[in-house]
Amino acid sequence: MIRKQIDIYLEALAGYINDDDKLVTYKWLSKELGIHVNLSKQLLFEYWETQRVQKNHVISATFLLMGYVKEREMRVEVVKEDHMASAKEKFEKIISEHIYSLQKTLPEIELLAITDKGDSQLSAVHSSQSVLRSDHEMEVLRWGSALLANKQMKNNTQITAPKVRANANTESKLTDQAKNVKESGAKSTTNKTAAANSSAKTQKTAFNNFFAKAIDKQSKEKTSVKGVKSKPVASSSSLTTTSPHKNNWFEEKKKPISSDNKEAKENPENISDSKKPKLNEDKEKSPKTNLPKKNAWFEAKKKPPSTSDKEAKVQVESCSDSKKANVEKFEEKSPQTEKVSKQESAVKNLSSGKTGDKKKVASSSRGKKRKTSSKGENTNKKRKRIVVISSDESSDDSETRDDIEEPDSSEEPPQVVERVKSSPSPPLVKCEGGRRKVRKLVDKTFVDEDGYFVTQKEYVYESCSDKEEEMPVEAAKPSTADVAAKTANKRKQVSLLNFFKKS
Amino acid sequence: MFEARLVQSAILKKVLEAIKDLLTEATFDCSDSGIQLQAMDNAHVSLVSLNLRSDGFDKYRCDRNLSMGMNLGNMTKIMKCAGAEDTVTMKAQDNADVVAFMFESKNQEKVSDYEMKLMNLDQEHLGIPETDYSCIVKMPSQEFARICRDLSQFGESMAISCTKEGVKFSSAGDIGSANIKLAQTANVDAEEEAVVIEMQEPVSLTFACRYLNSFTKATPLSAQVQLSMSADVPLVVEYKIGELGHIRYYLAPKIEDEDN
Repeated sequence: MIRKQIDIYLEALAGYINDDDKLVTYKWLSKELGIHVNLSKQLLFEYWETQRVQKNHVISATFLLMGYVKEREMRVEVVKEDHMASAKEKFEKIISEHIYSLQKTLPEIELLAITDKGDSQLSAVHSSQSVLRSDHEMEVLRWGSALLANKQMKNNTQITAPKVRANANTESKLTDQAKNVKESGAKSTTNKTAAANSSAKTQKTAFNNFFAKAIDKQSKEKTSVKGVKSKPVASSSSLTTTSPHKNNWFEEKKKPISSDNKEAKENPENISDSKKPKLNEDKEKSPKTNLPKKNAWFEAKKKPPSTSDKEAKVQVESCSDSKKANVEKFEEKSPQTEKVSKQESAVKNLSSGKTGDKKKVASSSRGKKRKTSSKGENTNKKRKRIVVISSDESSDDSETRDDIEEPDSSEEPPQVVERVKSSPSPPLVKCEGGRRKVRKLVDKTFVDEDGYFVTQKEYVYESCSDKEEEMPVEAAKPSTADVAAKTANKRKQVSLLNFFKKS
Repeated sequence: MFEARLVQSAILKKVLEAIKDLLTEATFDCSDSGIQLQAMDNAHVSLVSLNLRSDGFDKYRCDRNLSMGMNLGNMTKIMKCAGAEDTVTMKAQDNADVVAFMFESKNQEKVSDYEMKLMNLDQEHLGIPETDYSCIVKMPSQEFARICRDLSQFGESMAISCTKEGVKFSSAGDIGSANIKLAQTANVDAEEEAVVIEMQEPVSLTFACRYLNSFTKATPLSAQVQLSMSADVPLVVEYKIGELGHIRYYLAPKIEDEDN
């Protein structure tokens, strides 16, 4: 039965390679056949083996090597079959080795970059932190977020504004104000490069402080309403709040009632704690840990009591909290519970008002979502949309926030740049060490073992200054010609008598 | 008594054209089996080996072995006197000091007789060992002539590299470099127009273009040329002369100067 199925797969694979003349990577194959990547790899290997044994039709294969190179660095490399031996020499320890792709012929290995992506649902590794970026997001990363982000924001604000107005006049004023501040904040952050990230962050928090003050002045109702706008980001994107969160909630409930002093003491700690990891994250773009997230929650919850109307809010929180947990499980479909949870969350967010916090919660819980429900990003996105629709009172505002944050959060430069390099379409321009470098197609000529001149076209990053562009290319050609000329000149004509004896 | 008759004098004309560039004088060794000529150029770098079998002639008679030293320049002059359609007959007496050429036009309407004085030349026969060549390339002779002509513009010497895939001719000099690759012909329809490579192991040798260009003077004799190469052994360039025989050129390779 299983064998039958595999035979069908193999037949399909043969068709892809021979008839369709495709570059069949294991990822592509897994997506095409809807099978797990490991099975896909095995299929490729089996096909390759049989072809090799038969020897009737030689197909070319590329292999993916993963391991530690001699400098103790991790390296992942895709090599052609013929270069396997030399490629392996570079590695000190090879962790993984499997077929990357099969194809009839592969004149240039770079061609593999144009193959389609796999489906992450079928991949062997599920990362809770990984986010599949859309083409648009990648565009933003490549071409600078400023332009696109601005466009995006304009659109969003245009859409959201009318709806907000419909809700309430007082509300709309507030949201407009908030939006303006947020936008400017977001713009500044998106405009900044990775190096400036941390400063952008502090700026943001400064804005948030400002919010908190402004909000304090406002009436309670307003604040709650305002909060509704921002909270759904967290709740919607973090559809599954996990137990630690709940615990935090309960803890919180108790704390404010019991003693204000404690909180007052704790608050600064929490704030500083939460800030530190944030900064680190922004710099390193390391996976988000639970700790800062918790702190964020703490912060959010603790602030309101300290400012005003502690008990009332806390009560709201407490009742809504339990509900919210349920609600979230059922994807927040009942409007009543939603409202309550919104109110409660509104209070929290208002007081803390930190976009960074929310972002963390959002992204981390997004990751969890993937773990628990084995669905991919697509479903995740869908859900987000559902929530947005259901909380249409002011959720658009939250959307704007979300969008503003998106490019910001995806601005994870060090890793991203690295990834972009090997991605299907490497960027034309990249920055390295403060210099702009341009990706160019360059002819490389050299003499191979057999004495043939080999000219290869390679993509090379070159600095933009004209001098440097031209020099290496020009220098390379004469040198090879010189060598040839020299070797030719060195040769000496010998007499035939050296070979043939007189008889 | 020696007498050899060829209906097509043009063949003899072409043979003479093919060797007169390299040699100024040469000894024709006539025997019962045919006419043979072997001579090196003055620089002793190349060697011409001409073999005309007796059965290839329309009439052939050689009572005693005969060696006739001839000035090829003079012989060329005489051969130019023959018409394209003429029949040629070479005649020589035993121990004679002259050789006679008789050209007869069709229908014997015109008969021309020429006598040329023979020379006494030092016999310098070289023993050419039987060699199993690593690479034997058969290709159209005109293609080879063209390649030699083209590459000699770039440098004095050209490298001939032969692999299973094909044969590469390359040259480099002051103005730049030139590379010509010929792939083995996949579908052999006309044998003479095909590039055929028989290879035991890859070979790459360097030769003086000047000599190769002289060899290609034999191109009119045959549509196909055969290059035989082995490492550190003279190149053999062979042209068949129809049913009559063949002409072979040997050329010593250029080798790395050990002084450098």
